[in-house]
Formats: sequence, structure tokens, C-alpha cells
Amino acid sequence: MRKNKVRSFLGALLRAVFCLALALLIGLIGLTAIAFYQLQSGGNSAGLADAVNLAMEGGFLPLCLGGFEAGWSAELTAAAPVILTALAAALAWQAGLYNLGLAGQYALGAAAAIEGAAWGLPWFACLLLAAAAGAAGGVIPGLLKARFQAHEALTTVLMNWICLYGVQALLQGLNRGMGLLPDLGILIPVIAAGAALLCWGLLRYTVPGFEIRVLGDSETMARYAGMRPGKIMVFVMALSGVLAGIGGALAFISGELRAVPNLNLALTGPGLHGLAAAVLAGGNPLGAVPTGLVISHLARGAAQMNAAVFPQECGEWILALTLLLGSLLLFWGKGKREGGMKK
Amino acid sequence: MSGYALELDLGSAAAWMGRAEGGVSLRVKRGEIHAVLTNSADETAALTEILTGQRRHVQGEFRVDGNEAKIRSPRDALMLGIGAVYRQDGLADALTLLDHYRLAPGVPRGKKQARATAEAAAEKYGLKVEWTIPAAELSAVERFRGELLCALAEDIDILILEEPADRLPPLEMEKLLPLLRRFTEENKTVLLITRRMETAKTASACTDLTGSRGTDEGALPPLEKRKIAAGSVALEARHLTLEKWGREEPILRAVSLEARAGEVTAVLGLPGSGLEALAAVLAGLEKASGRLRLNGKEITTMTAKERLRAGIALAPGPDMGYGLAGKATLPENMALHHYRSAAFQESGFLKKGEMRAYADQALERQGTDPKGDASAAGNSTRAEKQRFVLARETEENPEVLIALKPTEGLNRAEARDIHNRLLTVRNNRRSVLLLTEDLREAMTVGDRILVLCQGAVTGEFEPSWTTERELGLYMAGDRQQGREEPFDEEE
Amino acid sequence: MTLISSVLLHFAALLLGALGAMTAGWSGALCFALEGIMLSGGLAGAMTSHLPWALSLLTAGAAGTVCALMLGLAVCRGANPLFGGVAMNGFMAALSMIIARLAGGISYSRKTYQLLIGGENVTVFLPAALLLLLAMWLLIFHTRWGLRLRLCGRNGEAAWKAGVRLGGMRILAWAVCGFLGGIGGLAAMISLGGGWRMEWGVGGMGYAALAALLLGHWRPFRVMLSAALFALAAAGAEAAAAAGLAVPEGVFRLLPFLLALIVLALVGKKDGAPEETAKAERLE
Repeated sequence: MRKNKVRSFLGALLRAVFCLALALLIGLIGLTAIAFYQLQSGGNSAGLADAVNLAMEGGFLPLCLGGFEAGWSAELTAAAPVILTALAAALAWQAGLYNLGLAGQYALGAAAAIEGAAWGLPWFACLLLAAAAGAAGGVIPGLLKARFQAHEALTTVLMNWICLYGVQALLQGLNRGMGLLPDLGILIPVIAAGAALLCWGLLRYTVPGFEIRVLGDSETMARYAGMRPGKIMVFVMALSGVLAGIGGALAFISGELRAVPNLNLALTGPGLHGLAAAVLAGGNPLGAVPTGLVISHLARGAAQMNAAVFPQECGEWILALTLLLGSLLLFWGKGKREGGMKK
Repeated sequence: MSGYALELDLGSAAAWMGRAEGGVSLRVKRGEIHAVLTNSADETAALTEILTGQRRHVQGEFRVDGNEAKIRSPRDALMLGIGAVYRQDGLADALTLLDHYRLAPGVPRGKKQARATAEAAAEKYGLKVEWTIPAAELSAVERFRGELLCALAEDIDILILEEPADRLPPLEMEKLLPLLRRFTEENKTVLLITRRMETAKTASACTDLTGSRGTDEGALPPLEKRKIAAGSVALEARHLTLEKWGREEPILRAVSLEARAGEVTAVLGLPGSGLEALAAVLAGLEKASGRLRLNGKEITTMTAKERLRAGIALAPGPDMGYGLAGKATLPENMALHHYRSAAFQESGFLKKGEMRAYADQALERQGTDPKGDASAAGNSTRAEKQRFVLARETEENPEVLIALKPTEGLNRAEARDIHNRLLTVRNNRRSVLLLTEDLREAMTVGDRILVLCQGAVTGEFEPSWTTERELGLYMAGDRQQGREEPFDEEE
Repeated sequence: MTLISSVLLHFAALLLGALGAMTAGWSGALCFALEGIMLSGGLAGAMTSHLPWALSLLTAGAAGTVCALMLGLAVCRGANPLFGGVAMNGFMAALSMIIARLAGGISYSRKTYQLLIGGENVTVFLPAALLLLLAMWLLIFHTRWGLRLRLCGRNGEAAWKAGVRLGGMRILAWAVCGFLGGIGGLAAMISLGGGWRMEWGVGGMGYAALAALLLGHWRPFRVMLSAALFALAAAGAEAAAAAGLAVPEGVFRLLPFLLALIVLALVGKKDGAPEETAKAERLE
């Protein structure tokens, strides 16, 4: 039994590492192409070697290593929001639900924290407010799914735009609360790690967690076990929203988030990061901690790239690639027969 | 030329799933009806998949008409003139049979001409088929006929039938034979792949793959069917009707039945006759109109949980997909119905130790060997899973045990074990409702047999007073009790 | 841009996108990456807007096809269509930004696509969308190829066993989806004219098209009607947002998405999706 567990753990680890390595490799090729283009259009008759050099020095190495420069505490602080959004995705996934509205819930949480700070609330009250706002963003798709069987994948995505436009309208571009909350320091990563541990324990050792796992098997299974699938769905989506919302608030408090959430987040940004970390972790809450660290490390490294050569979206591009490869490699062979062959 | 239409040699044991001893050697002559007798539905499926190119990495030799054949997909097989009608229904519910027929390459492009061709083919083989209504509204027999005609339209030389008796009642099987003979008269070949002796006997040649295990009764433990007097009515259902969105025909139509204590009431139906829906309705997973009574007490409005407490247990079969939760451990699965009781949880936390002890006890009491104390339930074999499910459902000694297709895909020995477990429940003067597609199973295990056809009960029988042939007529809907005239006579 | 021409442009964009996803859907493939496909098509089309309109449309279609095929191949190898779709959308959003920045900003002229029909200024997208609607309706519901396609969407395993090239059909459907979506993306980009910024991409129009598809029960002419409904909402919201009222413009801009959300709740499970696509949606 133990052997089996070790093997499946190693398999998951290997796949995640392979996924990341492949994404970085393709990313390097892309960066080289960009560097080559920039050198050519700059009028220099530079060769491929120069382009590779530039891509390595100006893009790839800062991407991979740039995150280390600010030290470990900054690294951990920055990873907290990513870990929390990853937990949000992973928890919903364990119940067989797809929470793709992480960005919206994240924005709601951040906006609530900003508003709370502007009202002069203490930091923990701001976090609670953020949790409530995030939960609202999760509960609506959950209710629609439970009550009307609306596809949660689509409704959560649509909620992204609703939340982002709503936040934009609400805050009107004012950074009122910025800088009003104290720096929580080491407390931020502790909150993230604690949340991961809590999620893991919840799934494994508690009654609601058991219900979530059974629902994740199938809805019929849950009904057969005498559960009420709708109730569990709403609960999971609310919890998922809470996690993403707190993630947004922590990003704001830690100074990671420097502007009011805007529409850029709809397709890329924290929602994508959280999803990528969750998929790489295979939906395991404990696994979301290391994958969240790696993803946030890369996202921070991307900011260190040579901005004159590489557009600022290069990092996002590589992270999206990671999610794309993850959604392919981690499900390799697990999907139904497509094109037909059995092994 | 070797003179064989088809030759298959699978050497190593690994090539042939689940088969420890020996390889497979198959020689099929042109123009014969050749049967292949296997041990279980799994083996039947495996052999069919190999012959139609659904499996990659099969080590062995495969020759068609003496030429080495590389078949990598059913499409390749069709190109070589090998067509098949599978055990698994191959029709899309929303499309008509004519739509399926038109896919064959030889059929004219126009709809009208295609229909004329199709009707001519049906006429030629003496089959009556509704061409233009959605397949969802066809009976299981009609679906089979339609698929057969579609396969024949592909202009094939070798027709493979995978376990046709699972989809056809006995009389229809008999009617199938002259059709197959007509087909072989054109110097074409039929391959019947089956685990049933009676099907294999109809063929002109047979390859026996059962090996030393044999198919006779002697090798199996006896069926523990003691004579006991039937008790009072335990479960009584009246006019259960279940309608679903998007379907014209209801899934269940005014189903009424009684299950008595100390009896196995078998409900027999062809695939698609509504057995799954009936089980779900009785257990409270689906809401249907009609009334339900348990020991005289009204339970119509009860939820699934309340019905369970009242004494209705549902044991879904290995292929139903909701017997065991794959993401939960075996002890958790064993305590599935009681996870909220004080014995297994305390202020929201699962008592894993208690669950494990309970599971061990329950499995030991039921004579089931728990493999691995905390293994995820997903890792067990099909038969093991079914034993776990039965152990869980019988643990509380329910008034009525509903067993939904309990032996699907199991081999004979495993099925016999499951049957004896069901009979133990019956011998303890409880009621067993056995919902099955297997005629033989209903005849041997059932004390009474109800036949379900397209969601309606068409007849009620005692096994000793009926024949498989007669049951088959009712399964296909050719006859119905309470009607003088058979309403769909074909001859 | 008048309100009517804005409505018509939105309508063409939504209809083309929805038609693309519909084609993929009838082959049993769930196209969740419509946003990314439309974005890639829009970008490629806008970058070639100095060429004759036919070439620009073709380029847009080709870019969409490439994007769709990347995801389609992955999904056919067992990738998760929902995660993959979201990833593809993010991927294309970032990539389009990178390309736009490298090119030093994208400028395009609306004039390229303008036609004079009966003295009325109409873009080519409306007739193109209506023609393609007719073509897809004929192709999917009235040809043998369409029959095979629908069998793949209804019961993939049965289709495969009946000798249909399941993988090939799906890939082809993905390609068609990409082509239509790409042209739709160009229309979407043009329609977002006034306040359009590269960061917005096609502003969620891909997802709105998916909602229109579900409301239209995956049938071409019903999809047309629901696309018209969403086009009215989107163009109206756009006009209201641009009117400079006291209410923040975000309030108006979120209204079409709110409408889509309500529509999805009303449609629920009964969207009439082909069985295999419904399975992919729910990942059963």
C-alpha cells in the first residue's frame, strides 16, 4: 500500500517537473525568437548566437532566478495569494466542479479589502470582508449549478467579467485604501500554509470533506450515499470563493497588487496562476503549496526581465503555456478513448 | 491459399487478457457459422476487440484469407471485409436507423434511394425495421436488427457477432439463425463470440477457449436455493411512471410490482428496458409518479436516506458506477450510509479508526476478504467491488435488497458466489429484488420473474412454469399478459 | 459608428464565433477556447487590414485555425478541454499583447471591410456570417459528411466502430471552428472600435458567443436568434458606456455578461448539446 502511494506521488512529481521544464524550454525558444526579432529590427546584423545570449541573459535567467533577489521572505509573501487561489481551484476540483472564476473572486476580495481599509477597518476585519466578498462570487455560480444545473465552468468565467467590471465601477480607479493596512510580514505566508493544511485536513478527516470527495466521484454517487449534492456544491463553491477572495486581499495587503484590479486579469493574471498551480498539483491541496511557490517565483522573475527587449507579458505567456501543457500531460491517458485506441 | 477465411494465433499469455494458461488458436473456414466459446463477458469483449482492431500491441498472428493482416482500427477491419455487431449498443439515440444506414459506403447518396435500398435489404433478410424514427424509441430487438442491417450494408465477408444473446431473447436468436445461414450461403462467414453454451451450439463449427475450467455446473459450488415458504409482501409499487426531458417515451410506464419476504423477485429486461431507472426510483434516487409501500407503510414521499433507514437497500452492479466511491477509502465506503451517525463522526470529524473496525467486522461477517486496510476503493477488481457493495448493503439486514445487474461482466464462479450471497439474504426471510438482463440468472436465482419491456411490465412468471423461449417473447414485447392477441406478430 | 451598424457587427462576430463552436460541438468536441481563437483571428486580421478584405479575412481565419488546432490536437490526446481552453485563452491574450508591443502597436482601418449595399454602409462581416450560417446548416444537417460528424458528436464510440475516422473528424471540426472563430474575432475587434484597447482582447465576446450557442440549443437558426439578442445587449451596453453618463461605464459593460449568466441559468442542463459534447462539458 505504502509503495503504491510513494509511486503515485513520484509519478505526480515527475509529471509536474516535466511539465514545467517543457514549458520553460518552449518559453526559451520563444524568448530567443523575440530577441532575434528585436536585434534584427534594431538594425544590428546580429546572429542567432547573440539572440540566444540575449534571451538567456535578459529573459530566461531573470525569469528563473530573478525571484530570488528579494530574498526568501518576499518570495513566501508573494506566493501566498497564488497558493490561496490554487487551493480555491483544487478544492472545487475535488468536488468535481470547475471554478474558473478565480480572477473575479480574487478581484472581489481585493476590492473588499481596499474598501475596508478606506473605511479604517483593522486588517483582520478587512480579511473577513474579503472572504465574504469572495464567497459571494463563488456562491452565485454554485447556486445556479445546484438550482438550475447551469454549467459552472461557463458561469464562473462569466462571473469574472461581471466582477471585474463591477469592481472597476465600484472603485472608479481610486486607490483609496492603498498603503493604509499594516504590513503583516510573516503572517501572510503562514495564513496561506495554514489554509493549505486546513483544506487537506478538511478533505481527509472531516464529514464535509468526505461529502466533497464522494460528490467528486459523481453526483449519482453522492445521492446514493444520501447526501444532498446541491448543498455540497454551494458549500464548496463558497469555500472556494473565500479562499480566492482572501488571496486577493493578501495580495493587496502584501503590496503585490499595486493597482485596483482591472480587466487585464480576466484572461491572464492571478486566476491563471492559481489554476496552473492547482493543475500542476493534480488538485491536491498540499501539493498546491510547492507549485504555488514555483508559479509565483516565475511570475516575479518575469518582472526582472529586460523590459526594453521583452514585452512584459512574456512571463504570463510562459505561465499560460505551463497550464496548457499541464492540462495535457496530467490528463494524458486519463481521458476517455479519443480516436479510439485502448492500450 | 490456406482455405481459411480467418486465422488468429495469440501466443503469449499476456496477449489475452486475464488468461493464465495457453494461447488462442482460431481457424475459421469460409462459409461457416463459427462459434468461439469463452469463459466470461470480459474475454468475449477482449477477443472481439482484437479481431476488430480495437486493441493495439497485440502479440500474435492474424491472417485474413491467408494474407497477413494488420488491423489497427474498426475502419481497417471494415476495409478487409470484417464487420461486427457488438454487445454494446452502437446507435446514437437521436439519429434514425436510416441515418446510420446511410453511413455505409455502398448506400446511394439520396435519402429516398437510400431508404429504398435499406428496405430492400430488410426484405431480403426478412427483418422488419422502423427506419425513420429516432433510435431512442426503438426496442432493443429492433436496435439489434438495425445494427445488423447496417453492418451487412458495409459489404462484408466476415460478420462478427459479439454475444448476441445478451441483446436478443431466445426466439429472436432462433430467428437469427436462418438469416445467418442465408448470409453464409453467399460464401461468407459468421463468427459468433459468446460465453454461452447454448449460443455456441447453434453454430456449425466451434472453437472452445474455456480450457480446463469448463462450463459445466460440476466445477461450481452448488446454488444454495433452499425451499422456503414465501412471506408477506415486503415492497409494493403501484404505477411508477418516470418521464425524462427530451424523450417522447417515458422511461418507466405504470410499473407495478410486489416483492415478498423470503423470495427472490427477478425483474428481467433487455438492455434499455429501464432496469436502471426502476432501481433508482425504488431507492429514491429519482422522483417518479406512483406509489410505494414497504410492509404496508407508505414510503412514496421518502428521500433516499429515509428509505434506506426504512429498510430498502440498493446494491448497484459493477458497471453501474455508483457502488463505491473511488476517491474514498474502503472503510469509508463501507460506512457510506452511516457516515453522519455518532458512531463514525464526532463534531464533524470522521472517526477513521471506528470506520476501519466496522468495515473489517462487516466484511468478515459477510465472508469477504478485505484486501489492504485503507486502500482506495478504486484499486479492487470488479468481483471484489461487487462483494464489498453487497457486504455493505446486507450488513444492516434490510427488508428489501435491490440488486441491480449484480453479475454483469463477472465469470461463472464469481457470479455463482454473488448468487449465493443473494440467496443467503432470501433464506434469512428477507426480500430480494434482482434486476437483471440475464435470462439464465433470472431463471436459476429467481422465485418469481417479472418481465420488463420498454419501461412496462409485460408479464409475471414462475420459473418452473415457464421456458426461456416464452420469457423471451415477453422481453421483446411480442407478447403481453392481459392481451389475447399478440400485438406485433411477424410471421 | 451608429448604433445599428454596431449591433450588426456584434451580431456577425457573435454568430461567427458561435457557429464555429457549434461545428466543433457537433463533432463532440467542447471548444472552451473560443475567446483565444477569436483573439488570435482578430489580431491577425487587424495586422493585415491594409490588404484587400478577402485576404484579411482569410488571414484571420487561418490564425484562428492554427490556434484551434493546437488545442484540438491536445484535447484529442486526452487533455482536459476546460483547463486547456482557459489556458489557451490566457496564452493567446499574452501572445497577442507581445506581438502588438513588438509591432509597436496595432492600427487598422475599418474602411477595408466596408461595402456599399443599397446605399447603406455595411461591413463584409454581416453577409459573410449569414452565408456561412447557411453553409454550415447545409453542411452539418443535410450532407453525409454532416451525418458522420453528428454521429461523432452523438456517440463517438459507435461512430468509430462504424468505421468513421473519429479523430480526423474532430480535428477537422476544430479547424473549421478555428476558421469561423477567427473571422468572428476580426469582426469582434472591429466592433469594439471606439474604446478598444489591446489589453481587452475581444472583451469576453468568445464566452458570450458560447452562451448564445447554449441558448440557441446548438441549432444554427436558433443560434442566430440568440446571437442577435446578445448583440443587441452588447451594442446597447457599449453605446451607453460611451455616452458619458453619470453612472460608471463598468456598470453598463457588465450587463451583457449578466444577461448571459441569467440565460445560462434558464437554459440549465437542457441546452440540447450533442451527447458527447455534454459529456465533455460535465467531464463525465
